Amino acid sequence: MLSLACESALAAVADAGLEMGDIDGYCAYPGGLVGGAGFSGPSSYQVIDSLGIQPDWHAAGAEVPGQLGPVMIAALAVQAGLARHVLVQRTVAESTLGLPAQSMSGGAIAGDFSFLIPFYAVSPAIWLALYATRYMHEYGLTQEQLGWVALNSRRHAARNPRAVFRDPLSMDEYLSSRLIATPFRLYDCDVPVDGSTSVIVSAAGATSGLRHQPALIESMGAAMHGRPLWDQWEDLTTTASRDAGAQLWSRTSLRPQDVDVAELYDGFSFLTITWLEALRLVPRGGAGAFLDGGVNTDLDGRLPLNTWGGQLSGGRLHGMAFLAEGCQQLWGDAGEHQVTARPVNLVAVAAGGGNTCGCLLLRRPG
Amino acid sequence: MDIGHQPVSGRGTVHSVTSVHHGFVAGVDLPYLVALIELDEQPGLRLLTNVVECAPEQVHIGMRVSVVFEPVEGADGVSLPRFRPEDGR
Repeated sequence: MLSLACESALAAVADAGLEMGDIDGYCAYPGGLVGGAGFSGPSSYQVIDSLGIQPDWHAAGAEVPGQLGPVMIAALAVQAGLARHVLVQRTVAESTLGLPAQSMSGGAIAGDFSFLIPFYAVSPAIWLALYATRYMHEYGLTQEQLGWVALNSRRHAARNPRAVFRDPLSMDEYLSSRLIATPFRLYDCDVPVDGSTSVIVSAAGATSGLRHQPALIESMGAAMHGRPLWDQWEDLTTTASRDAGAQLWSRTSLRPQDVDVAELYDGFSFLTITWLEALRLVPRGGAGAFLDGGVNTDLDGRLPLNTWGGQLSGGRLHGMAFLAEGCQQLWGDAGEHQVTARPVNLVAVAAGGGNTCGCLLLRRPG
Repeated sequence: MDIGHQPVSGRGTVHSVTSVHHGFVAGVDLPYLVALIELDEQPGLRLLTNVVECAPEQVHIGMRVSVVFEPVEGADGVSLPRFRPEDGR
């Protein structure tokens, strides 16, 4: 797990054209010892120590605007002059060490979970199934339309040698996969992996001579305007993505129709639907019709979506891999899953669900 | 601030519901129903709980339900508020 984080860091630093000694900041989600070792990955201290980083700025934690939270913290730090090159990481080992488990034994349950666990609502699959059921009730989303999130991802994953599931997935296979919590079936849930994603956030004035033209952060969305609890969010047809998405567009003169590629979190298929609507890439309630049939979201479609296979087929790298793919799409560096049918000038990246949501708009310089 | 407990009628409406088929919790019969119940007292006053005494194919959004307190095995004097279809519906 620690070696994965270090390998990933070394690869990102080399890809950027930097030396490890240039890295003067470190940010990560969610920090060590949060939700079990497989979920949290190594602590920031272990990674900093192993890589010999001498950070002028460091931050790792879980109560942030989703898994992109540390990217935003890094961006604010370089903007404020606290660091020049911040290494940002998310490392998971859920394939070998398992998903976080909420214990049913051992007496009283503390905090917010005490309103969930006694009713066997032990997994985000169950919490979000309640959102998806309500959304289907209000907007008429069909099981097949939901399934197209998974089918779209699988189609793209076939082009990604690092994806976990690369064989084609048919609608029949999707519809006959076992139920987890209605309406979610097995393929609506992302696949646990061991892996580490590293992104380097650099100050605008510190990028000359680097290997890539930087992917510029045009705007960020982090707002959260509802009750920050899974079971008490008022409008179950959306999440805090609604507020993060609105904030993102309030901070740029660009428009949703300018987006060339979308990399939108799919810890569960339904979350991609919430993000498509929150980022106004489709009309409210219109995600199902947009996804249906998969034409719009193909590499040559109106809005190529989750081009690396997403977490549903690529693997549950927990948010940060969407950002890495977004950068590579801007750089023309995404290999077989590169969008070539149009120039990629603007990419929307989003991660999270429930009350932990954040999004970024990335663009080419100039 | 005046924060405290208030009695409620124990009646409400299913706001959303899921039928859980995966064995997340050892020893619990599958499938079971997890629901958000909106209580009659106030819009948005919701409780995450289970719907019991109801077949999964019968439960639906908008269904009227009422509370049933179920003792927790092995925890003396502790009971949980679960909900069942309202009498006569």
